[in-house]
Amino acid sequence: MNPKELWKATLGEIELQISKPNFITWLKNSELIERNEREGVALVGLPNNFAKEWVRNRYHKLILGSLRNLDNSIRNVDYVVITGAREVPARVAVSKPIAASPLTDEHKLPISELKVDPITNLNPRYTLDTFIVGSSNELAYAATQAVIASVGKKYNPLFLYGGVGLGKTHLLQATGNAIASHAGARNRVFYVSSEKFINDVVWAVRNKRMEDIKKRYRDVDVLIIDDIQFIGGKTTTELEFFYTFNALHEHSKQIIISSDRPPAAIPTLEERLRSRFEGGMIVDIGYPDYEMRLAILRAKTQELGALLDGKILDHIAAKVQKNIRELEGVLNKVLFLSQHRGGSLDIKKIDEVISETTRVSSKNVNASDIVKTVAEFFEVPVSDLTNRCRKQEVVEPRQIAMFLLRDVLKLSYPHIGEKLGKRDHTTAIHAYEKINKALSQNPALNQKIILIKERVYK
Amino acid sequence: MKIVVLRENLVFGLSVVERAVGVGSNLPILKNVLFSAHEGIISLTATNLEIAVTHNISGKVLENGEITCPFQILNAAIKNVAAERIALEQVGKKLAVSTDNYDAQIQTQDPKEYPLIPSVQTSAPTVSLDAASLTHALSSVIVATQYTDIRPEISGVLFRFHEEGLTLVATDSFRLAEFRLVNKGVVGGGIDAIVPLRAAEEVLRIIQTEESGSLVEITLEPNQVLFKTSRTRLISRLIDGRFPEYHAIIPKEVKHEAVIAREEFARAVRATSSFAGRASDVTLTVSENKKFLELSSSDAALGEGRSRVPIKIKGEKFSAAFNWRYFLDGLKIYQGPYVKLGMNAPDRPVVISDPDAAYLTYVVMPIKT
Repeated sequence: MNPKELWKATLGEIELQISKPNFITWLKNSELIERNEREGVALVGLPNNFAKEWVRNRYHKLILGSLRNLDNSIRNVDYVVITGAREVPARVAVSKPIAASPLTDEHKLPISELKVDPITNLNPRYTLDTFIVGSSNELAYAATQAVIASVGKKYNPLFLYGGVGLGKTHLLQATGNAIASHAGARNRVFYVSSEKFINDVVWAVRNKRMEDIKKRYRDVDVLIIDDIQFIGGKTTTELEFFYTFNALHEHSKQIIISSDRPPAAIPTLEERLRSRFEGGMIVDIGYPDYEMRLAILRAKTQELGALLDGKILDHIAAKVQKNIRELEGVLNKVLFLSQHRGGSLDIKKIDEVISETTRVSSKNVNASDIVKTVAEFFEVPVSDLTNRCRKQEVVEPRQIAMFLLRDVLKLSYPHIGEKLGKRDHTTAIHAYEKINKALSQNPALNQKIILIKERVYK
Repeated sequence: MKIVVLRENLVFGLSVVERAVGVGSNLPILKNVLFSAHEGIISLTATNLEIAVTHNISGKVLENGEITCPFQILNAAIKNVAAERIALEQVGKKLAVSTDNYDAQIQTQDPKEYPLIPSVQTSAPTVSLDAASLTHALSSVIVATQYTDIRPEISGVLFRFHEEGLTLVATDSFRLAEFRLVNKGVVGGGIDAIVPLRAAEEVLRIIQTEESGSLVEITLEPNQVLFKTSRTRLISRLIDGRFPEYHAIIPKEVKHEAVIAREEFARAVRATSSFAGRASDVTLTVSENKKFLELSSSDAALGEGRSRVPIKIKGEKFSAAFNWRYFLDGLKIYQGPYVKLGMNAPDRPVVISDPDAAYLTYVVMPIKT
């Protein structure tokens, strides 16, 4: 047996005889430095004087006994403090004067590599500094600030919802990063997409390793779950999540959840989970207004170090309204074009890029599908939408239908008017504009439209 | 164990050892304080296995013995009682705390389980220093260091014992402070010891409360250091590593010198700093007519600020930008009415010194702009 193996075996024996905290505190970083065969003395290295003092006075007999069990040529044990200097190649390395070099590098600190942190699962690219706050998301931002300031105590769980590409993931990850790097506190943060959570549960069920899941998800201070709506309808996952949620919440661990819609609108979500989500703080992230879109574009161009005409940015901000990711996509494409084509781009070309990027895939959806879905959603007969009936309860569904026909299928206004009760094209224009305007102000309406669209595409 | 002490003494004693009490450790007993009463001496001990502090308090020992109980519980109980005298007595496995109008029984643990405080060999080199001088020296240099895991060798204060005395040095690689204590009872030399920042802070806290004229003994062993005052002993591990050869950083001579009223300068730095951006940079520029030093900072989001202080300058005009916090630290450690700025090139370190305090040197790196 070499000294390393001998010591490992000895520690294995000692570990059984003393309590775990004691073992960790006093013997964890110990090693057998040498074994003097002739004199039968083993030299044990310990990390500090406290350990040396304690081990020599309290564990000497134990260690000697255990060592002798394995190697009876040992007659005595001596202890020293291990100094890190042994590992550093002596003093040769210091011969060069350090000059002022370490002092001058404040501005050149290397940017830490942007990889996903293996422990927290967070991407350091997302920071609160780069998150642009405007009227549509200031509430959400304020809520996350409150959570960062008092983790687990205020707004638990925090439930963020908003449409696709409005910055939920960014805000979520940035919050996680802020909490993880918060000076002073050592909060273990764990970020996971609900898809990953589902996969973990499936894996655990198949391999009978539910304990692993419990350990991984419950042994944290902050659990962040992205896109929670996907766990709706997956019974075992929901149940596991429910238990995890309770375990964390009971110990006032922070839970942050995002979804594309409020809990009440996730149809397959179990009642008990829904009520738990609703017990915390629910905030929405709405569509960005024009100024905010422009601010995002400016920040993005600055970040990329690119130059673009202010007019072009204005134009993009005015045209791409519903999705920040698309906004960035258009910007990237425009930047690419301007770099490779050289010269300036005209507004027409930019319009082309915008329509290319934001075109909605209207797979096999036709006008009657939409009208039917709207009618079903509002539980009114289809005929009420398509005749000249002016009952109050069909007015809104009809306007929504008009809006969707225009928005999704790009039908002409006269055609839309024709389809829904032989109305004038101005009626259709009015309906489209009314709904379009109300969308940004009325989250409930927004939600309805999203749900209807979802059903249409199903 | 049975003792009677004045509440005031006990509260003070607990506050001395408080910061050495372990937190969040594997070993729960580190959260305890150990009382020991022997031959008329009562001592309190706390350790987190990085440092250990033992403090003697005066009181009456009625029965010898040792006892250990959770620090927080005892401290909270003692802090809130109003009585002047407190009796502590071991009753079975509990510690009974009693005053005229208050009684408490605190669960204790076996004092044999409490970590042993490492002993120091009497033969180890020992120096005695005047507590007031050490307080002055330590409080002057300690501002220049910070906790860092990346470079452990500079996350502490260097105690360099040499032929002429003791030199304390601290740096965080952006600034450096050096304090030379000359011939103050130092014998022998050629020993370097890096005391961890946390321990240095504790030493400072302890010796600050010492009466004037009292002495501090420093005993050095290869891996540990003992600071001893009349009533308190603090043992700390030493940082393992070599302190950078800092002499290379301090400019031997300076080309341009400016003398400035210290308080006014510090106020101007503070006033201007409100507008400093993320790099905390404040720019110093000597005015056209060489009669003023202009401080300016600006940030696109905040605005900009300027202030002006009169100077006397020797040499040419200069301009450089600094992290204002680091700069202000350098002004605060001096006490005299004037400071001198020594400058070479805009990207070379700047020396802040006080003509009346030649024993103290503060060097700060400019920020590249």
